[in-house]
Amino acid sequence: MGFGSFLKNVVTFGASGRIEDAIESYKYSLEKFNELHEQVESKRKAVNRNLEKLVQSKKNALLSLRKMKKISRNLGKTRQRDLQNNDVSVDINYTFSTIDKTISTGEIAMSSTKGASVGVSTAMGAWALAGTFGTASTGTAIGSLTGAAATNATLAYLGGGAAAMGGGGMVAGTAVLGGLVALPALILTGVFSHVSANKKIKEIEEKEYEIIQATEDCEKALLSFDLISKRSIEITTALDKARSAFEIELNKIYLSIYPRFYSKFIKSIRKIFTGKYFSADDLNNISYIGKVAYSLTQLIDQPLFDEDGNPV
Amino acid sequence: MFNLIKAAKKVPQKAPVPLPNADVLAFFKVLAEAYKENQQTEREIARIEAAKEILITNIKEKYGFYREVFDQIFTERKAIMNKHFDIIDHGISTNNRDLVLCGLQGLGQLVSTSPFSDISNLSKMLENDIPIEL
Repeated sequence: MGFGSFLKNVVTFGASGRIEDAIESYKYSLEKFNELHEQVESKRKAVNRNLEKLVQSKKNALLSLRKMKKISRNLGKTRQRDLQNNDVSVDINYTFSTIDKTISTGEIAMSSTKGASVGVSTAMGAWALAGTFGTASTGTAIGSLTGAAATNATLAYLGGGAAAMGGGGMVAGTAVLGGLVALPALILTGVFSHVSANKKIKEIEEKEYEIIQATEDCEKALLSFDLISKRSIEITTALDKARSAFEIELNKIYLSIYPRFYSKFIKSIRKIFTGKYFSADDLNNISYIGKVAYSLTQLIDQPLFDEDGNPV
Repeated sequence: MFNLIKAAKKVPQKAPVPLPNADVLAFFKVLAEAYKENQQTEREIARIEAAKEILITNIKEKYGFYREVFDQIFTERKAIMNKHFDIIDHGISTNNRDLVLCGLQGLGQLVSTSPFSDISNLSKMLENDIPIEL
């Protein structure tokens, strides 16, 4: 305690010291809030990086899935009949149509996104993260939805829906800053009795309470970002594994259907005589790789956010 | 002795100046009001301080609990995922298509199940102070 503080305390019978204590407590809460706020900002960046990895992973999976066309294009219109005649599950038609749908939707998203961008706020991001490719022809509207989801995502159900840090944080930050500016005035207008000291202490305590409330918003945002990161890493890891398995199995199947460079020619000749391009074994192989591709499709179609921007 | 009596007689016989009764009352009234006001403010400060402590404790406990629960959920899911990876790898290396499909389907099922599906119930339990059995 300096001589000034000592003198003030003597003159005010200790009231000044009590105000200083309250201010110290306020400053401590403010520091904690600012630390948390910085953590939120750094987590926000980390979440975006993870989301970009997921978008890239989905893009890669889509490109792999397109390789199915090397095999499936020769199925043509005879696909259903051939598969049924060869006792291959009729579900395969549903499988192939689902795969085709995923490929075509993903291709639209990719073509709507300029360059090689895998940004979360692009049409590609909207398709990869929210599983939607909706009304906006440019993808901007939906892109901004996922952008908002990526940066402002909050688990609204976590205890009653306070605003996410993007909005609430700024509001809270402004309130805190206002409080900080107001405090020196409180000291200067200073108080030389315990009665008025208590009034000032009450004001400081109220402001500190507001900071602690804002701290909860930070905690909520931090938790949300952590969960979104974990979930996006989970989907990315599963997707990469499934894509790798699909690529390996597709290569095996392709070599099994077309073992030699003239295999396609032989199949074409057979089609002329028998009306069937693929053999029964080929169709079984195609059925199998269709199922593998379908599993990959399910992972590609797995959204990270629902329409409201909540993680799912 | 005579001088003393003489001197006493010289002392003025006037009555002392009367105290202003109204001012004294007003002074005590102001003092009482200030005291009351101070007591009221001190009670409010105590209320805010208690609310602050409760809020800090709630925040710590609530988010600590959420983190613990979700850490467990994601750890468990990761372990299951790794099992599926093993099945897929084994299926690929042994050319066992059933195993590959089984692993991939399991993986798909796991990922399509949201880890956040019970969060709403969890939150309600916390808000209503319902004991949670882990």
